[in-house]
Amino acid sequence: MFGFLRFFVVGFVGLTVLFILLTIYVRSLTRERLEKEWVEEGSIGARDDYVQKGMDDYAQSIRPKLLLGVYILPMITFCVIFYMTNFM
Amino acid sequence: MRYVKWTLIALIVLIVGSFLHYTLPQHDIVRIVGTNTERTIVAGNRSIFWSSGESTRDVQFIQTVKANGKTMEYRNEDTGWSWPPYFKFDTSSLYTEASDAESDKANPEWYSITHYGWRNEVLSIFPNAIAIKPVVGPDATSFPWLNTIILPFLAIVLLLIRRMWLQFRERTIDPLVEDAGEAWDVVDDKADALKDGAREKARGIKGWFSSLRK
Repeated sequence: MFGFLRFFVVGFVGLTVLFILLTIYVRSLTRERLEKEWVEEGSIGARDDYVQKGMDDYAQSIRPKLLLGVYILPMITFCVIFYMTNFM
Repeated sequence: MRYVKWTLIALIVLIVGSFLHYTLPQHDIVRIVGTNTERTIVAGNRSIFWSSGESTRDVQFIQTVKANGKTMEYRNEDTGWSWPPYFKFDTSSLYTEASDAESDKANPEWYSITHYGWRNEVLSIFPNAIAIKPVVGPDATSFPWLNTIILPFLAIVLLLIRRMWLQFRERTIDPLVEDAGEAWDVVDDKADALKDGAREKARGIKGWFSSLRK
């Protein structure tokens, strides 16, 4: 029972760190892409406004939610390994 | 310096390689000749090669012979919730399966044993058996599916970490350094201006004195 708790607590903490790092990384990539798009479209209007609008659109879209896969994929992997080891 | 660098790299490759070789699953084609339970003392630095638990305990073993006549012994222990993450809880069932799979030289039956770990006679350590399944003969081969998935996945994770670090450096650290550099330039310019001003003044005073002498 103790081992079970330790496994899940350590796993959850580790995945949360990974989730936060990935969120920061993808936001950074999106911001860089928006800044480049603004230049390519001819630098019309204020750059900060353009980027901010793009970031808001990104936050609304499904893409940041896909990062929750960081929790789901290891969970599926765990279930598959558990089944394969003990019941196959 | 170059030797130090390459020695370090070789050392890292060796350590990571050994770790993966110990942890990842492998298959042996063997004939199972016996199973037994032995009171075992797992103490000191040897214990990292055994499952966690009491230092003196009963451990199940599976004795096998390979097609080339060499022997191989496996321990049969739960990994439970600890490392490596096989989540093995079916030690008793595996023991029954192994006992059921015994065969002699005259009528050999061949089995593929999935295991991780190393056999070392001097350290007295044994690979841990994970699963057994019958195969057609001693020459049977199997494709290492899990390792084909795990190793490229690890490589991708390493590349991702590298990309994340580069992105962080490009977007966060470099601008900070640039700002600091610019701030320093401003200070530097001001200092230069002050110096020039002082020089001008000094020249002025000198000039005034020298004009007096004339």
